[in-house]
Amino acid sequence: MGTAITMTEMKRKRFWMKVALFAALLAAWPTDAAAMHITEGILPASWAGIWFVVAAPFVFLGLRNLRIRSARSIHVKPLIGLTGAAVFVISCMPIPVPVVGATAHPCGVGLAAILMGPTITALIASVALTLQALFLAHGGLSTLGANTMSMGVIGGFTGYAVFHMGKRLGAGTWASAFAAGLIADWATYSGTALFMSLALARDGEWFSMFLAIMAAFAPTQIPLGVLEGFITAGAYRFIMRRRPEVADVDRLGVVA
Amino acid sequence: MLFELFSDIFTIRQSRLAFIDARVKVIVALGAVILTLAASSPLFPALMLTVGFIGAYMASVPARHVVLRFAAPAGTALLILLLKTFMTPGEVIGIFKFAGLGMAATEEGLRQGALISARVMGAVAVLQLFSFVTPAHHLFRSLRWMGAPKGWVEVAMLVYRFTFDIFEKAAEIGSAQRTRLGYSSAGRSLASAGTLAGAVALGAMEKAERVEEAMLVRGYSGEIPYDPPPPLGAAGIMKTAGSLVALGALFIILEAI
Repeated sequence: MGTAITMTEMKRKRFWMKVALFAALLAAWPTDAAAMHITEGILPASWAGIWFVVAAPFVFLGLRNLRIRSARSIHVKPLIGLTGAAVFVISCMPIPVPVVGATAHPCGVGLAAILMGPTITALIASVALTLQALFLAHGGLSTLGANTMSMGVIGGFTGYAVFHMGKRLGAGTWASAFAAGLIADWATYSGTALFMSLALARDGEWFSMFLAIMAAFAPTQIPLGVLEGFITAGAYRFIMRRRPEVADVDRLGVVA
Repeated sequence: MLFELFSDIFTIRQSRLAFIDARVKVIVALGAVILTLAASSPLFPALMLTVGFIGAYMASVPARHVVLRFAAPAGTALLILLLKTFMTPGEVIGIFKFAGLGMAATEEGLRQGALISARVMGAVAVLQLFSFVTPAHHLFRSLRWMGAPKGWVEVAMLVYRFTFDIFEKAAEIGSAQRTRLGYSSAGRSLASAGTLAGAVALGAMEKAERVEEAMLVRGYSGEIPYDPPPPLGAAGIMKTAGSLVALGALFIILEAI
């Protein structure tokens, strides 16, 4: 009995040692935090296919929304194209992360979801991710489904829900936008960590892999999420001051 | 640097690969990526990596740019190799001491890690070579030809087109903010970053209105006119089929080794 307990304790200790060691190793890697997108080739064909199938309906909902709104107002497509370009640029903004001496970048999907609605955000994310995969070597084509799920769907829907929940609960616009940016960013990374660990782990080691990846993201993502909250809130406040009519998303014809 | 943002800028160097029909390149590149992901040994992905480097050289892509593009995927590949080597159960091939902790490397982990890392580098090489030799507008046209949704391709074309405008605007605003010491403290940096993102988003909206007006006076009716490409033709079909057969044969040979 004593031996069994000792063995269990040893296994547990070894498990946490591994998690801590690899989290430290991953976090200390001196490159840009391009982990926002799962790199080409990481996912096996089966997982890549699954995430394509799961993400596709959301992108098609975005396309349906685009078609309906475009029929009502022809200025919608250029607006969405430009907002997509803005998201693309925001997600390319390098921000120094002092903890690891590297740079990371915000997602921009929290802001896009507040302004454009979540299904359009999923569409914009799928486009931005495709262009980044093909022309910048960020992400990949085979991982496009997983990346669209984590950034466009999980990040977008979470940001949208948090913003409107915050407003409904009586939080101010600034606080709601801050929470939307923060939670959308963290949700995106959690999704990425989940998808990577599901694909990489074998023989019941999924949880340790998930913890290692989450812990590795933490030094960059905790401050970056806060930063993204400030950026989203600052951007939203700036837009509301200059163009308050933008808050009326129905006028833009692109709400969820 | 701004104009080197997208890899397709190197198509202006007019390599022989740039003149191949984009539809042939799309199909062959997709086939190569699928085979790379399906490989059960690192040999085929390693071949794709080699082809990618040779192709980049043939397309006159500067070495600095190639290194830049491959740096992040290479870092990811190395991390995956380490993760799998030390976190996969199996026969221990070595124990490494790190900060007083003993970490066991396993043969199975090393094998799996090497395979995934090779797939990452091979697949990235294929896509990078494709983008070095294919202009974006040829890609969009090919995607429509292949049946990609029209709305999606239109949005992609607009995003691609406007990214350069917005990057320029963001660079201008960022420069003005730095001149006014907008990033001189943590608090100022946060406020400036928010203002920058807001100005970029607002600038996008204002530009959308101007673009809409400009498109309207040029006959825009809600859809960008799409001129379908000519049929692929016998030569294109032969090139595509030949390339796919060659890739398939190489895949089978390298998998059998």
